[in-house]
Amino acid sequence: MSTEENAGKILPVNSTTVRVSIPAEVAFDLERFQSVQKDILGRLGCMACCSGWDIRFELQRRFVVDANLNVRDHLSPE
Amino acid sequence: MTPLQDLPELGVGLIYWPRFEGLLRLDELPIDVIEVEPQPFWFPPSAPSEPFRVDRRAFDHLAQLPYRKLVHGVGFPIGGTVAPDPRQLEPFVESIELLGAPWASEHLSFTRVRREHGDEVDAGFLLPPLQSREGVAVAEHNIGLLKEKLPVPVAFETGVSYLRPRAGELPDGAFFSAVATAADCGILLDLHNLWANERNGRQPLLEAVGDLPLDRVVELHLAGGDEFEGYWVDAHSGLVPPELMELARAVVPRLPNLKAIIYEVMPEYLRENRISPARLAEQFHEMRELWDTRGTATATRAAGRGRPGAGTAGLPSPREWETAVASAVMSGRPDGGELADSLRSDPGVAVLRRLVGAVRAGKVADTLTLTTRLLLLTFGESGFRELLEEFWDSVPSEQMASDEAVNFAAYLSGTSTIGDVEHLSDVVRFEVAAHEALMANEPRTVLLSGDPDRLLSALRQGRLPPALEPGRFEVTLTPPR
Repeated sequence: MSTEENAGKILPVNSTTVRVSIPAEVAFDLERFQSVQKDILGRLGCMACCSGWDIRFELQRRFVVDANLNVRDHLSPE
Repeated sequence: MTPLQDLPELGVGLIYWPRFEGLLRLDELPIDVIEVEPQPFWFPPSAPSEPFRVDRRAFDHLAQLPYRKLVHGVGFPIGGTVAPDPRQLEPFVESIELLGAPWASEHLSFTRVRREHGDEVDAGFLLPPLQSREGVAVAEHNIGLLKEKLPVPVAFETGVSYLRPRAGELPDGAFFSAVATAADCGILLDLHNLWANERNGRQPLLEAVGDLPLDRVVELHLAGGDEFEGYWVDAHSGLVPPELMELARAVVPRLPNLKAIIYEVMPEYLRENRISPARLAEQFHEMRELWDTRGTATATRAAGRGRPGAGTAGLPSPREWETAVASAVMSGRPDGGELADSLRSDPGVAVLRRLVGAVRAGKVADTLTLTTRLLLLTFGESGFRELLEEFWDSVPSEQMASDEAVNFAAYLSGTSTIGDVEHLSDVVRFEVAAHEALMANEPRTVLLSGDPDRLLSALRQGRLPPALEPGRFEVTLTPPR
């Protein structure tokens, strides 16, 4: 997350507090920041009409790297 | 109310998800209509007795898409004894009106059950109703309520069931037929559900279709699925299998009032299964050819046999059934009596338990993504699954993903894990505040103890955060402009 990408501003307030402004969309780990609006929508509501295997946890499991920093898989756009 | 035969002919289309727009160009697909499941675009009520809230940003975006729209409910299925949640009716009507949908549909399933002390609990999945005379009456009552409230005609979706047929139950097609006739409503014929039922040992698709009053079928769903533990599951994970497309070619000419054919696929699977936009377009061309055959062979009897004469005596009541199925399927609910015990011997119940777990894990992973990554990186998959299973045993499922996320965050905060995992408290607070900012459309501020840029950057890249200098960071989460 670059400062430019998240539009964050780090402003020293005093010697012990730093104030930061970050777009809430960052929490959704957007793969393409410019499609923020489209990607966030529909993620906080009900599940879809789908009676099969939900793959979303599996996708996150594959995304993370192991303790040796070996990337198991990656979701970068094809 | 517009009679079913006078509804507009919309053509072919797909269930719409915003994520499609990052994966393909919708305007390059030969589609006429999009179907919207509105509840994913709602927020929880601001108070327990208040209605759910429509996310106007989402509906503004949907409204500008250049297609006719249909509304397909996923929040209050009409097959159970817990009546449709009145807090959902107002935003459902609003969704229909905002999108100009000419009809609306819901599932002939149940998801909520009433416990002994009167409160309701969510089972976390669309579950099959008991196919009995009483079950028909329950659905008729619920559809009647919807018909009173909705400004457009109602259709129910023919559901999938992974359970074995029970002695004395109406066959699938007869049950659907009896409900449609009793409730005097439309049918959303989900051919993939019926095909899954056939493959999993229930009534063959063509036999079930033969039992239906085909003049009530206003909409068709097509989808792809997956093999899962010996079952064919309705995962919306791929292209329509050729065998199913062939069956659709046999069915569609027999449907005199078909108004739309909708394809269902989850956007995550488009990428996972490498379904290219070109292949998708090719399938929509096949669907258009299918569409052109609608009603061309309806000289034969349109109304199905329904086989309504079979008795269903000796079956449990719908409420007993729902309690038992939910008890068998849900985590942490070993009660449910003899019926639940007998259901647990059905291998379909084990499949349902796994699917419910996947949905609940998916909600957490999708809404608390960075928390999920931190826990996966810390505990590994099996350790995190154990944590999730303890959560599921303790806290029932929530329909809304945001509620499930808040519950998981609260659960974590009550365990030693929150203190044992470095930065976990910060990450959870950050993500919950981000949800609040999005739902309220107002900034939210949280206090974190480490540099948020370094902390979040690492998790966004799928890495454990580095050692961070302790500090005091006041982070303001800003909603989208």
